[in-house]
Amino acid sequence: MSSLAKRSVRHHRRFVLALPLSLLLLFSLAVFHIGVGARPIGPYTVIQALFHFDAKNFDHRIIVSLRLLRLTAAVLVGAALGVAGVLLQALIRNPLGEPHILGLNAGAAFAVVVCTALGITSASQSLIAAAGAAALFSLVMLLSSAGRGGVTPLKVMLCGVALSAMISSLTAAILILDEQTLLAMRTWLVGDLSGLRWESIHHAIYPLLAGLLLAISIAPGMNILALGDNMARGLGVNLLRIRLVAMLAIALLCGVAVSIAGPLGFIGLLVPNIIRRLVTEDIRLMLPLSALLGAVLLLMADIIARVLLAPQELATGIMTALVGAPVFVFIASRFLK
Amino acid sequence: MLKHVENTDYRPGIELKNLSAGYRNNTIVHDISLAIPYGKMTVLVGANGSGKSTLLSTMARMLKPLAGSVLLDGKAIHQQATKAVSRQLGILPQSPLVPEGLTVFDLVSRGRFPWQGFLQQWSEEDEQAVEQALDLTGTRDFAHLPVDSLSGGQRQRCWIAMALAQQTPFILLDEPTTFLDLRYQVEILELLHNLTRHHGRTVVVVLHDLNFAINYGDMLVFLKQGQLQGIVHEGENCPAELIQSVFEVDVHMSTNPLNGKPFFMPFPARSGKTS
Amino acid sequence: MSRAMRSAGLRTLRLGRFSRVIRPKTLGYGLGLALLAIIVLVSGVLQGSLPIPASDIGRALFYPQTLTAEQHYVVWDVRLPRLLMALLCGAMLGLAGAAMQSITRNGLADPGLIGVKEGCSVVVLTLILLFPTVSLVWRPLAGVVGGLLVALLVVVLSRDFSRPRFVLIGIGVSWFFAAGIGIFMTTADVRNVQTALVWMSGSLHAATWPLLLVALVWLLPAAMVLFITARASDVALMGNHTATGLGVRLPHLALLRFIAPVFLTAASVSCVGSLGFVGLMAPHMARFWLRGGQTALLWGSALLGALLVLVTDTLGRLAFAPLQIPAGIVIALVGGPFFLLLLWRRRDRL
Repeated sequence: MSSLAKRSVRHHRRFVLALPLSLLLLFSLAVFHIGVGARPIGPYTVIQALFHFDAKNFDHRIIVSLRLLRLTAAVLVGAALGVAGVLLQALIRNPLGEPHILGLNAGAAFAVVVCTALGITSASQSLIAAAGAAALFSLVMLLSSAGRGGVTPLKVMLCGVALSAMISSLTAAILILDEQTLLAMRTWLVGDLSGLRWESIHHAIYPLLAGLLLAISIAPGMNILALGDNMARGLGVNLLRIRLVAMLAIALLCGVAVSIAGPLGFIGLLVPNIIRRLVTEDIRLMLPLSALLGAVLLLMADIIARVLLAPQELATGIMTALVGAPVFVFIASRFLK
Repeated sequence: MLKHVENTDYRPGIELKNLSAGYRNNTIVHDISLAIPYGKMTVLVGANGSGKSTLLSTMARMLKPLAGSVLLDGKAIHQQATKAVSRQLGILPQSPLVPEGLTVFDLVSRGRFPWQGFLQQWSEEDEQAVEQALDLTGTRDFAHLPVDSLSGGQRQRCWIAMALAQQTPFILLDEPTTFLDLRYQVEILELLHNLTRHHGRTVVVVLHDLNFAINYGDMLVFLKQGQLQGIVHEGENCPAELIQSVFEVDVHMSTNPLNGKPFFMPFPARSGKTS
Repeated sequence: MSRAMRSAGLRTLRLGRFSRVIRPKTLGYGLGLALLAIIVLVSGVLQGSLPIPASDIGRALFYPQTLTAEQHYVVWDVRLPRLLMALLCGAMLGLAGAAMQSITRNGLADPGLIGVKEGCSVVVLTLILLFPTVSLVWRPLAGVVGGLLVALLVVVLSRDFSRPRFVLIGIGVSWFFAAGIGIFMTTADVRNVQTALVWMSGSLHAATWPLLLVALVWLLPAAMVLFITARASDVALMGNHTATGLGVRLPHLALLRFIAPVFLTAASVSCVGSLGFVGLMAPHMARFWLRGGQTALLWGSALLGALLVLVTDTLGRLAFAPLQIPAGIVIALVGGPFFLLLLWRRRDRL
């Protein structure tokens, strides 16, 4: 068997192992996640509540109305960010790619803040966020594709940082001028899973599904894209189309994530890197894994955030940054010359 | 002012005593002992990777010796203060950086740094040294132009002018003629030769072209794989066997009609056959 | 000689043993900038919620006892400290940016980008939380310590600060500490948060005369270090080997010229919060207009930085009156496109 074929088999084997493992991890974390909080609830009670719901049991009510909501949000956001991260890193061929760094989150946050300040709370907040994300990201990609080297990792990063900084200051300006909005949004701004409503999740489901479907549809093409522009063109891939579809998928997924939990960073950075090192680079295999792993990571971050400074709850986004930033530095020092 | 030295003396200027040099895990130059004569042009020759640049860098105190020492006028160079050394020894490294937009005049004036202080930033001596350096290298005409707008040969002359403005008795140059047109190679080598004959400087230069080395060098130092293969002093004849062993080619020796020095033409190595 | 020098626009100044080269054109521009700064300062004193008629400017500045109590308060306790603080902090940041860009040979370097601001803010915020009664004067000390530690971390992590990745690693480190700041922002009382947000966005309204003095105390030694090492830094630009050959002690130089900018930035942030990309922009603007070596660049960056902060603070103060937008935000809005322009100009080299 050729070494390439052996590698592919190895990846498949790892995938088959990793998938159920992640599912198991997800379920256990989920149960644990529900139990964590200002009023700790034991796992047995959790399972009881899920399968034999008793409306008169106070704990059960908390579980269903609050905790389950938070869990669902975390799982959805984590999955969305994980998948977005995989697509993004494949798109810019750069292990440092991350929705947060490249301005997607800043754009989405700006859009949401503007709407809140203007009093527009509409059902399509995800789409507004997605639009903001897409707009800023397109600008980043446009600017960094200028020049002889095209889209180099360094240029993308620097453009992303510059544009994010600009838009974040605009956002900050609005919040300074409007204390009400600040009050409502300060935790959301660093990325947080508290204070959610079922509506935001309901409204986010369709864009999320759309994003996931798009991602799955371009997965084979993204694999080929990784071989380089010329190779991909030669193999019949429409570069422009696949790039646009990828950007759309990324924007939708990020928009969903931002509209539910605010601009959470670094999940999209960690997930693809972990999967690539431990399992495979095949995007078709990476996608389901990234959804699971994203959810797992976010659940872990959320649990730690709530437990670390108990009874004070820390914003989840802070947790992801505290872990993610060092990882970013680590990857940057290895990957960039 | 410029120091004028009698060239008949054979005084050691720079001495290398059992010098081994290289980088932390990698000894490139092994146990070299050598005396660089004062007021002459010494040329280091050898194949790529023979350690010529490493040797020059260690002599110029860019690298610390792994063993042995480099003596400048009897004192270990690595133990002297770097500013004191810079008044004795000037170096032109292989690929110097030219800051954007720097003019020739500014570049050459930087060579006066070892002699300047915070309050004395531009004394009479500084001005005169720079003047002289510009004249000697023929760069005065474009002194106001930015260095990065000049040709390779002109640029190299500017760097040499900077080393000259430094007014050091010793000048070390690492492959100053590589990548230059033939005409500029000759120009630079003539300039360096002139510096030793008429201005009393001691020049140590790494050259990759053997025939230029023989033509201009007073003393030739042959290196192979970091070891000293042979030294050809002034007046001696350069043996073909030495060349063959250092460069691993066969050579045909003839005589340069202009100055009677040997001139070597290389052939691919065939075992056992020499011309 | 003089012909070569004169055609390059240089003149020599010699007094006894003291001698230096002067560029009259650059000197002229520099004085022009200084004049501009004074004009903006004076007009800033006159404008605001309590406008002072221009004819009274002489009285306001030189015979303060002839002003009304209200006018005196506004001019001497509010506006002058604030405007002078703007000048001072702008100068500090400009100097810091110029020095850091030259020692790292990296036109995108700025202590503000590599986490010094965040490290500084974390320490200052901790100080505010744990010791709220400690006087403002101690903030710069705490902040400088925080800033230095973070800068050290970035240098250690990236090992070589002349590569572009130095900036990226710095950005990563700054995110880490920004998360730390986030902890404060999300768990503290919302009034403190808004105050902190305003401070961190770069706000000069809390400037007082004692704070000005403190800032000056931090500025002077660091600035002196930078000016004394300016010529060596010019030589260092020509490569490590050439510099060593000319007698420059590179490790010492690098240390001094890296620490001084961090000092200046951290001191500035501790006094007034983050002022965006001033350290990044001022040196580029200075290089664009002024010719000359590091000394000219330092003066130019200081003046331009001062002007930048002064103008943006005045804009933020007056343009949306009675709302006040922190200078830091205005600068970020201007600095962002500027940064992008810089990237654009280097697009082939990155």
